[in-house]
Amino acid sequence: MNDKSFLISRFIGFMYPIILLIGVYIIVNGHQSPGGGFHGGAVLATVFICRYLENPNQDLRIHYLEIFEKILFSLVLLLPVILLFNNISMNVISNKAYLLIMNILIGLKVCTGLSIIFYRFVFYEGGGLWN
Amino acid sequence: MELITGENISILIFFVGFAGLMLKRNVIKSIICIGIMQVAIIIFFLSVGLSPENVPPIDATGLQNVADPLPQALMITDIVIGVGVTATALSLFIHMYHQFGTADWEKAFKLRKDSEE
Amino acid sequence: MNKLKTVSIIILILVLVITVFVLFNYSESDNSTAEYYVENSEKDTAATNAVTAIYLNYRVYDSIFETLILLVSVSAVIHFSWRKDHE
Repeated sequence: MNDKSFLISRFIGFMYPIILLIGVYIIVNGHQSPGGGFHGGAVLATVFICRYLENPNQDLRIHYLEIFEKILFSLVLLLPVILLFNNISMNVISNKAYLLIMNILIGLKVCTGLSIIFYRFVFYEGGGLWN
Repeated sequence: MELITGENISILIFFVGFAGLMLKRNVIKSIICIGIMQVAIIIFFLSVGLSPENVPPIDATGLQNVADPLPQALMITDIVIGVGVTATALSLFIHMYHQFGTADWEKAFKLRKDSEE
Repeated sequence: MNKLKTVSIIILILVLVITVFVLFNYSESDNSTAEYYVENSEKDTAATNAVTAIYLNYRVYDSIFETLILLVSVSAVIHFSWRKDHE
């Protein structure tokens, strides 16, 4: 489980920033073109998978990813409660800012959630356990 | 009347997954069949009321023949639910394999009933 | 086992026929919500994409609870992934 293939690691190392750019573009242009938080978050999760495929050692600290995901969940819960469920009058600029910030928060949350699932499966269940 | 529409294909895929869920004995195949049924339901909800001359609902105030945006917005969350269910089911399967030594639910049932007596 | 398999295949074909019959004879189409969403989403929210206006402004409860589902399933995977040899 700890030997890497030379061809895959070189090619995925080349594709790394392209996938990152596509994911960020899909998230940020969610209010004008097809896309949005959920789709861009799933594309960004493949960046974490690529990082493991390129260099399969176990030096990622999952503890900080878990804390980050819980903070993101409380922010996703807090922002509509403050802005939408009261009777604050909003103009065009604050509406667009609300859409952009919500898309970014949802995208980051989906990305960290899926990559935590992947890393827990790989670190704790893979390799040398079935013997 | 057309025979190959989205609704017909999705009903067929749903019942293929349903038949696999009932007739197979391996647990991994059951988990895969649950995923197949999920995809079939998503396709069915997206293709009800959709015709080939529809325009996407972007910048479309005052146009005719716009596609329905409500089922698309609801099916986005359904895909993430499918990922969560599959991940939890697979992590439970690993513990079942370690305890009973087999991936067959009938044999695991018999082993569990024998060990309780 | 053969008797059980034939009974289950018969039940499967029966349910398939009943589903197709009910779906294609007792459904009606009514497009009033879709027309409201397409006409008024530019005015109420400042989004040109109607799908984004739906899942972030008209129905934001679904998105909040969907992130809760992700959190709970990640907690389930973290709780169930342990190894017996060194933990």
